[in-house]
Amino acid sequence: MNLKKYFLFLGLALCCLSGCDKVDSNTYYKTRLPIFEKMSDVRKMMTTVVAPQPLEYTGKIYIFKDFLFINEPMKGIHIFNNSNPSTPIAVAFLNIPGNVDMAVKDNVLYADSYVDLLTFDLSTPTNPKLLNRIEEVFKNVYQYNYETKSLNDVIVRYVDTVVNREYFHKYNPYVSIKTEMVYYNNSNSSGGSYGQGGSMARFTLANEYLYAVDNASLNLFDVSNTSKPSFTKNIKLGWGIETIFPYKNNLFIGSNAGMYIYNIDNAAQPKELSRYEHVRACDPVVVNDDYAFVTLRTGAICAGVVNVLEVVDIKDLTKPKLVKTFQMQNPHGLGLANDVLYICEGKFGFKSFDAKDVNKVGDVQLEHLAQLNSTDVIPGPKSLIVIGENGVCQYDYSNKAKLKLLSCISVQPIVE
Amino acid sequence: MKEILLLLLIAFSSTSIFGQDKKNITLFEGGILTYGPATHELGVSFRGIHSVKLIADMYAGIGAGYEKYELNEHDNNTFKIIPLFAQAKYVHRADKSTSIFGAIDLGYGIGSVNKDVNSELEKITFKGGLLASPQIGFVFNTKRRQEFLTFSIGYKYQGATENRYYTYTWPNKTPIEVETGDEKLKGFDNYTHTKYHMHRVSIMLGFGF
Repeated sequence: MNLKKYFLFLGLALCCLSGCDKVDSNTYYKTRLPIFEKMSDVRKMMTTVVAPQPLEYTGKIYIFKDFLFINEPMKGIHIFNNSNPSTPIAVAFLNIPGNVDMAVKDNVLYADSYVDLLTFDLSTPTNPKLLNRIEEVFKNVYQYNYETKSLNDVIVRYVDTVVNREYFHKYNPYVSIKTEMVYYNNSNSSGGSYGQGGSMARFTLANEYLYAVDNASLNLFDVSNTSKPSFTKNIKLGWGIETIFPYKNNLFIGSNAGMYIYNIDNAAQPKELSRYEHVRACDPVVVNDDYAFVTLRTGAICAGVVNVLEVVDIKDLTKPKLVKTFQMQNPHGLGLANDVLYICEGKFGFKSFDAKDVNKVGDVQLEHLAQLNSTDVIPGPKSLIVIGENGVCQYDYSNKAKLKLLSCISVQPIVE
Repeated sequence: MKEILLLLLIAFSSTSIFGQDKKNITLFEGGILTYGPATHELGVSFRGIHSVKLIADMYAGIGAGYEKYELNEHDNNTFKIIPLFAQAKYVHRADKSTSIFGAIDLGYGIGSVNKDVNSELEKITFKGGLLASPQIGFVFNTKRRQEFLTFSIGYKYQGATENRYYTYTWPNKTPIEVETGDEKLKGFDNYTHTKYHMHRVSIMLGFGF
């Protein structure tokens, strides 16, 4: 029975073998592919003032004196003469590649252009003049270019395309998965005169300093010499920084994990007073003397799980305390005008609340403009300015309980 | 279930054709398809085989069955297969009460028994593939020598294909508009063609007559 033993041995050997799955996948999928550009090439692009352009997308808003500035994300800034909010007049478009944010002080406009900070003379708002460029100050904007394998490029636009990806892997429940990417390619050849920003702003000016937050840090620029500001400091804050709101000599910095409070009595040396932590969500903030109003929202970028308004007691800035939470629909930016709190609810409209009693603020709704898609608001000296996906609308808010529409600057659909 | 009933019907109807002389044998087997000695993600196999004695100790036959492959690495999928195959078998000293045998199966596994998905956001179709399975084992003859039991261990290869079209619905996502190059997507956002090469150890018990 030698053969039988041989078979038995073979059988036992087979028992010790391990099977597996070999999986070949070939996937085609629609995606938005980034188009990279070297920053040196971006700087060669002309930063010019051109005739007023149609507003195609809305970004941030800012007011300075009688002028309204509307950022068109990554493209530049629309400038309007807003001396009469009922009839804002487009006066110019400032073409700034990679622009997202802005701030104005003493007729000087500060605007980002990808990793650089630009300074413009606004003495003639219809024709701003480039004064200065500080290079390489917002380095977090650099993106890894997987084609050149470098971290010195910025994404200038995206293209919609179909990508083909093949991969192969082996699977066995006894061992971990090993994935081997075969290739990845494109089969079808993204003590001065200050202006006022919204609660979603990432730039703010105070005490001769420009404070600009990027994703992970607070950047300080000395702007005492208006024609030649200088970068002075970068303070690491942690990932997920979103907004900055100045109030008196304090900065309230919103991140998707909480709110940082910095004192700027010494403007060049911001001092952290406290951190107020909340669940992960996007969180613009506005404040008055005693309370901070923080909105937390869900969304693909925020990765949040709640849509609420939080009222935080900041009488002691070193020990912020949650007072009350109110359920909202999808709150974005917010604004505070005396005892009225305005909240932008994205596609759910625009709401106003009586904030006299902070314990009831979310329950005492004054008005709900359900049709007004809104993302940020500035309670300005002449009008309440509300920006949303569809454009910028201005309201007379002398009667807090009943907003009166003055004008709207609508987004013009892009015609290919 | 209907697949199993169909196979049993095929098997029994064939039995009546071949008769019961020992030139023709019928074997029903059932067992497990495993990745290895432990019991992770076990599949099952049931099959019926009819063989004809060609020359001394050599048999040739055809078979059909029903098999389930567990593919837990991919969303807990189960792949169902109807194997149709030809078998060559060598039985060493078949006259003894206990014999040993070696066999090899070659054929095609039909994958269309898997339930297709066809919704607005997802469409999935399945296809089978080639199969190959060498085995070795024992034959235990009964005293009457009209029936026998088998125990075998083998390696099994089964190919299978899944074509999946799907569209994600994410809130606040701007639709991606592609002008050209999306012919393969058939109106969906994603298309994945996946070819599985399943390699298993089979451990089978059988009853033949």
